[in-house]
Amino acid sequence: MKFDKIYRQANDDIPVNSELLAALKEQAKHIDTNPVTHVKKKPVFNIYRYGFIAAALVIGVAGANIFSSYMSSKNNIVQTPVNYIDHRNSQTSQEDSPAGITTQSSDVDTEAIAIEKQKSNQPDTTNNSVQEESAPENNDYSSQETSQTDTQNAANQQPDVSVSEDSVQESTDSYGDTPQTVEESPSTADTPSDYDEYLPPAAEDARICETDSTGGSAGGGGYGGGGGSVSGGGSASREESIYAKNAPSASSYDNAEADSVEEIYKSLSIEEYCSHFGFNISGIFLPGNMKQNRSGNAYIYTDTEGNVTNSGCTVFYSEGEKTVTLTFYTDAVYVKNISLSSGGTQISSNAAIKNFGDNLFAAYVYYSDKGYLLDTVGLSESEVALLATSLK
Amino acid sequence: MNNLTDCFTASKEEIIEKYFNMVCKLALSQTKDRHAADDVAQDVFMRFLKTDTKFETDEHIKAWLIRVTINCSKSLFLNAWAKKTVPLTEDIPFDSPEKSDVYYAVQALPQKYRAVIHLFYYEQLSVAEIAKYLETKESTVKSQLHRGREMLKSSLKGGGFDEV
Repeated sequence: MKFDKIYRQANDDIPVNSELLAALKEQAKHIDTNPVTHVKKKPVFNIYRYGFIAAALVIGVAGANIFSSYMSSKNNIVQTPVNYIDHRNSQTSQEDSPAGITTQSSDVDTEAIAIEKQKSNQPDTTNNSVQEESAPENNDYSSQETSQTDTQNAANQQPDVSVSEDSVQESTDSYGDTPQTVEESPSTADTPSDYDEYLPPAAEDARICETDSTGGSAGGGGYGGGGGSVSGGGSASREESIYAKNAPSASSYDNAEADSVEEIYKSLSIEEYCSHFGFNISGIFLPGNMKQNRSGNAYIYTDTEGNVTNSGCTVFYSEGEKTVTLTFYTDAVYVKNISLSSGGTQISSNAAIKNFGDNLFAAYVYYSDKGYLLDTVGLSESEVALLATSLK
Repeated sequence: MNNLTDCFTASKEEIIEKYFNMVCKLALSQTKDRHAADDVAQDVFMRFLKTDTKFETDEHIKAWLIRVTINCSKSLFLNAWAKKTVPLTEDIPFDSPEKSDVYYAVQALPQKYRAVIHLFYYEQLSVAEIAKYLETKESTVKSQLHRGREMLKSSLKGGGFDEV
């Protein structure tokens, strides 16, 4: 007998579960097996699936945003001492930003500046001129220092507040302030704003003068005319800064008169700078074994007639994780305004300390003809107070 | 039957009735236990009732059922309960000793050989069809058939089944 035949017969002899067969057939009747139903179910399933994917994507993007914001805030904290937080946070008015900071830090957000330039109906001449003129100043340090140093260099410049509308607007942009502040800038030329009270009378005159000339038929001519007044003072007043700094860049307007104004850069030692402008840091209180590092930098710009048009000086001290950045200002009003608007603790009639947390302090010391700005890391508040009051 | 999309429910009843025996016998050959075979058959047909697969031909359905039966039988022995329990042996009564010898000789084969032998001799499928249904190569099926036969020859030696 063949194997396959016997095997088939053996399997055929095995009874199947008829009850199960009947139950399955009954089940087949009741189970919704309509193919249309299946077709309808599929999109519903897809909606759930794609909804889940979309929700996952949203959660992922939100998480990435939170993480990036956290990381950026973390970085900000690290860079706080050299980025002059007091300038950013305490100054809501635009004129308090030094022109130097404005022009140099504008590199950070050039696109935003360009957009804001388009928003303002004023000619773009002032911005361009300031940026072009400030480039050589940056080159002095950008090759040696980090971006943090660039920011400090910006702060080193004299508080030659550029009162032109575009530059004020630019300073606002560079610090990422709110758009409301930016939007105010176009109106500053025509209508007095809050920052007018911070400006010395001479600066207001300069602003008006510049605005008039800019608003006139020939903007470059206006700057050139201003350039003629550079010889008015021996120290770096605001008017001089405006005209002297803008004058070289007026070449972009093919203005021969403006091109005639030249600036001469000269690097000074810290001692020379202090003796020239009357700063006295001989009795400076330095906690621990802090000592001067990075040699600091001091410079002075003069016109062809030897008059000072711009100047700046910064000294760095450090020991371990403690750092002190000391910046000199010949404009006492500027420092005073920062001090008053910072919201810090007034430690004397002419000094204030602002606590930014995480051992970050800023101190403002001002006298009748000069001022100091201190940024410290790792120092206690009492040490900062002693340090500030030791500056004469 | 060939056009399931037109009369889906009725066709499935017919399919169940038509292939119930095949599925049960195949499951029995794999599980060697009637109750387990019933469980597998139930599972297979419930999957069949719920599946969204668009069957195009009767051959497609047959292949699908064989494939799912083999898989369900394998998965039955993968769970922890099956690994830790021994099914009650229930001898199937046959009317002749030859049938009993042949049947239990096949049941004594390893599982992969049992499937091939059962499909080849009981379902009378060709090697190519078995390879297609089991998603394997024909040469593999041939070698498994050969080894299965060799094992059956040795176990049934002297029983008059030389034509295996």
